[in-house]
Amino acid sequence: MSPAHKNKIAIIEPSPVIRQGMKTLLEESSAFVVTGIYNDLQSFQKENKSFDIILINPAIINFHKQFAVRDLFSDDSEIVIAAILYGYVDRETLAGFDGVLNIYDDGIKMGKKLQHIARTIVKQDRNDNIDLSDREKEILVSVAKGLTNKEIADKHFISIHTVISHRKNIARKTGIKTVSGLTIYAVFNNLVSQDDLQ
Amino acid sequence: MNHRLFSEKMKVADLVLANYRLLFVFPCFGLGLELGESTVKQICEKRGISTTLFLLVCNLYTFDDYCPDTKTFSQIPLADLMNYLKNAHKDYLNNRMPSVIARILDLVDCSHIKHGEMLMRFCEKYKQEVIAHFAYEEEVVFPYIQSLLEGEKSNTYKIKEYESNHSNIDVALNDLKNIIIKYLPSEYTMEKCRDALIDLFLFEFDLSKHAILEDQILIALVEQIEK
Repeated sequence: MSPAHKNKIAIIEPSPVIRQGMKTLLEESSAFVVTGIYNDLQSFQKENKSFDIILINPAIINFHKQFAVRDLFSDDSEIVIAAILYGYVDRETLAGFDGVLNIYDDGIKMGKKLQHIARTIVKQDRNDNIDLSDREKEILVSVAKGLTNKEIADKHFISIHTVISHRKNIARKTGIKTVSGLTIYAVFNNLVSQDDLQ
Repeated sequence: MNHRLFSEKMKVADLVLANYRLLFVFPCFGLGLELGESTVKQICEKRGISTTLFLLVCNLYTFDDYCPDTKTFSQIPLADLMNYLKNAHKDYLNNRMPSVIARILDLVDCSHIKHGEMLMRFCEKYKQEVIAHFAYEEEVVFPYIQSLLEGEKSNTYKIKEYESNHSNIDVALNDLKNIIIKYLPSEYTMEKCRDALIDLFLFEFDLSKHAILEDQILIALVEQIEK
């Protein structure tokens, strides 16, 4: 493989030892070349170079949790974003990444994993807003009023599957999962008045 | 990876200095302060606490990715673990939860907000949920494990049932955190919000570690006996 076909990798990781170690290990494979090494998101954004793969420590992302991981990077949806893992990270955070690289793996395994992630990346709809959509607000009001998924589906002429998917998005966007919590959200945000709730 | 974990030769005081959240663990072992220069081994032997269990809990509380090795795992005394969990339940019900709820009541009281009673109702509902959760463990699960330890085999109940029914009691706390941080009307005072939040964070942390002890340690130990 000629150098021109190597996947260009950026590593964003606060620990110099891990940064340099990953670069060394990944470059054992002819498929990769590390062309950018950054200790935080700011220095990465400042340089504004283009990459095929971004490896980033999820701890960095945690400070920006209200954004989907992908929104932190350019709108190039071809780019593969993988998490560098060396401790426990909750599943919700990891879900935002295309894959995970474990630093306890050796170079060969890491390279294979990364190629696998790059191949299997599924393009999803990433035009995700942070705020609730009007539709989601309507569904939320129904949830707050104590309607079941079936009742909500009938009321809004949608399938139960769609209701569930709306509810998942509502929980993800608001960070609130219980019905009583969502009710409080709806009242505080004036989506429903307390008198409408029995 | 083990070089950075707590070990029996360390001073107990140093453990607390390294991680103040252990202050919530010690009472569940019946351990107070006035620790002096005593090591983990010395204190555990003096107080009749299992050193393995004590270190397990302290490490679990301190190192996010900690998972006991097979040797440690095989040495965990099941009866002592159950006893620890029971003490923790008592502490959560008698001290921690009332304190969280009092903070929120304080928050609601200090400003005459129209939605205050909604928050209180939320807390009350949560309290009932936690009480029921612990009651199931103490009335069904622990007696079952106790009878297993005494050599009885049950054909009707298996720990798998507990595993599949074990709900997350920290979800509602997380909701409360989100509501206070993101959506509470700004007329609530920052100081009161902060006090309530810090209590919430600490309690949620304890419950998450408690859940690991139950889901990953207790259940695995019981499954071994059932086989």
